[in-house]
Amino acid sequence: MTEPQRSWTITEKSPGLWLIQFEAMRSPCEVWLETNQISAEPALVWAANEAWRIEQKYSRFNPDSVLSQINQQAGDWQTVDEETASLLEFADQCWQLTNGLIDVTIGGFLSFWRFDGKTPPPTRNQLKKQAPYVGWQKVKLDGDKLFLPEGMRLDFGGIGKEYAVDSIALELANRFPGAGVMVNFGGDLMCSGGKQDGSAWTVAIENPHNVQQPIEVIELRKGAVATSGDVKRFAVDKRGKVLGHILDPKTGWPVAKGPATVTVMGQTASQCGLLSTLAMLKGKHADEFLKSQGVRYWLQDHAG
Amino acid sequence: MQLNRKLAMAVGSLLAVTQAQAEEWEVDSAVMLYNETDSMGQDRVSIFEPVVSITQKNTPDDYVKLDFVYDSLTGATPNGANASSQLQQFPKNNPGYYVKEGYAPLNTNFEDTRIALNLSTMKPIDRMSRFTAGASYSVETDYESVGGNFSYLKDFNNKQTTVTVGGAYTMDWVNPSVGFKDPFSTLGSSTANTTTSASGGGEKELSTFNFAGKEKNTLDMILGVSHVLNSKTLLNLNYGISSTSGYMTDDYKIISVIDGTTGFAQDYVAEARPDSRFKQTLKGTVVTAFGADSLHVDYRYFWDDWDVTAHTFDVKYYLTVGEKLTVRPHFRYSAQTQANFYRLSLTQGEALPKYASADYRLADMTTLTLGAMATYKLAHDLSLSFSMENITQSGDSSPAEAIGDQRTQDMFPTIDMWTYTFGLKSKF
Repeated sequence: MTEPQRSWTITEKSPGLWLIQFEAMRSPCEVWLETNQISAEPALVWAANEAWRIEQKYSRFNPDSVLSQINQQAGDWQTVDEETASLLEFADQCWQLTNGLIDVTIGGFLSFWRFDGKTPPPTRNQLKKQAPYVGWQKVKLDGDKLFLPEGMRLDFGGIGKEYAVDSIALELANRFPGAGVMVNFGGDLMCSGGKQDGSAWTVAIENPHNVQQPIEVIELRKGAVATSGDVKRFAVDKRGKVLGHILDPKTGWPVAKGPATVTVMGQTASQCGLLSTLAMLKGKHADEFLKSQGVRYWLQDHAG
Repeated sequence: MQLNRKLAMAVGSLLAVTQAQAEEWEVDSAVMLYNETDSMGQDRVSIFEPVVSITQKNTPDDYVKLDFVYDSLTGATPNGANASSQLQQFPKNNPGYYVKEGYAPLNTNFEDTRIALNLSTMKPIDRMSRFTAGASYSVETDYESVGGNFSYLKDFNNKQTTVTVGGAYTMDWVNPSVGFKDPFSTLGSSTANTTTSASGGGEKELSTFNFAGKEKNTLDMILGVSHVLNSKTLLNLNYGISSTSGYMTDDYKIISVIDGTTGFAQDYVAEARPDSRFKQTLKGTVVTAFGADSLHVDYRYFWDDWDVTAHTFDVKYYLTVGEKLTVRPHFRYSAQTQANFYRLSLTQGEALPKYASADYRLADMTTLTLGAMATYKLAHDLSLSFSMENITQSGDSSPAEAIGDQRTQDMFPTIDMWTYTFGLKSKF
């Protein structure tokens, strides 16, 4: 396993407005911090390191990650650290609240898919055989004690990035009270406090069919935005049909007739990410679902 | 609650931030009207009670709540004497008020107001435990109460099981407007006022933190376990003890002293109650979901060292009618046995017991409650509710110990109570 890129650039965009840019979680990442304190730079480097730490810890591709170790110990009771226990409990609540639509044991299905636009999808038979190894109800969790049945695999892909965005944004807001903070990891973003001149952060809601022409540009002072979609990551079936990367944990197959992308605005990236993923999983009922949640959202259908 | 809000709360506990993202303010206000009549058609107590409760909620485990209650009580309560076929006068030698033959004697009309404040909070300690703490204060013209409570809740077994250990301490002061009376002293006699406190007697202004009067202290302890039986059913078991010491005599209550043959009252005397009471309760609750509906069934067993025992069944069903309307029928039945010092009356010439009270609330009694509440959601953050309940309290109208004239009278007029509550709940 090659060591991923660990480089960053820090720029002072205007006096007191600092920006760090780096790559993490397969996305371009930006953290903006507006403060006159000299500790801005080390705090931004901390943010990048924190993103890499979370990525490393919960990567399903890195065999040494905490997540991989948990998966390797499937079949035995194991003790997990505090942060992982919190995430597992959160996963449990999400699973309960969404009647199983958000399920971190989806790792069992994900290993059959490559969303690179060329690798063919698994056969229905393969997925059917795999189904006994998916389903959060089979997992036992008691505080920091976890029992993952043999053959099952966890995947934090659905919650890890948003968790990183929120926890980094909140930590920076704590360290720099009153400062402007904006954490944006590949479009999943959270900001806390506007800029010091009183202006808000501007967020462009991207048009998947024409990146130059955003659907809308919104102003955000405190809150979050997250997008789910299958524009960049998809598989193609034998007939050339595009299959999105958001799998229904009940079948292991992407939901049909869903929108191309769903963007949700709310309080935290985690909440927005969950709602946008759920909307994708609702297929043609996505619009109806989002309407009932009392949030601002943007839906993009597939072109043509 | 919207899925969105529930998810926001789950995120709030994941990120464990003090300024949680799901921060929400809830204002719950209600007005309760209460009216009581007895089977003889006499109006008793009426209560007008506005209640306001403000909650600042981050997650279901992290909130601060302030309740404010204002009660305005008017009416009359039974004075403890028996009904008679003769006109009765109170006090007997120097009448202040009369009670017509055939009616249960009620105290002269009173008016009182009560103000109660209650501040409570729940905060997480770590992922698997949290605590609650609270403080309460209430005041009436003749009563004042200050209390504090604390409990610790710990989750086990993947949060399927929660154990609660808690305690509360309450201090009450009573300062009856009629003054303190010597046990069994004759109503209106000169001895009756010998221990009247400086501020006792006559009308008083509502004064706060005026800790005059006699004191009573209560220590409560509770041990509870709740367990999720399956995704639809929750079981909760509680055991509680409550130990009170101090002044518990009700100086507004009297006892008829009757002639052993005719049963007519010859005298009315003050009551006397023990200065300690130890209560225990055992309570089981099962909540079961049926789709969007849910059924709550409660059984409570109560017993104390005054020999009062009570069985209470309480059933509520939350019926979802469409997206906006919830209807909740309520049934409650409670049967209580009398305290060992409860007396219908005393008999002239008998040796005085150490303690005695003719307060109907300490007699054998059954209470039946039937009611319903409707809640209508006007918007996701605004709901209206209306509830109506009828409570019937009945006891033994012709007890075996009745003598002479008492046998011709209703010794326990059935009490009929109605409550109407209008509520408005909003979120910000």
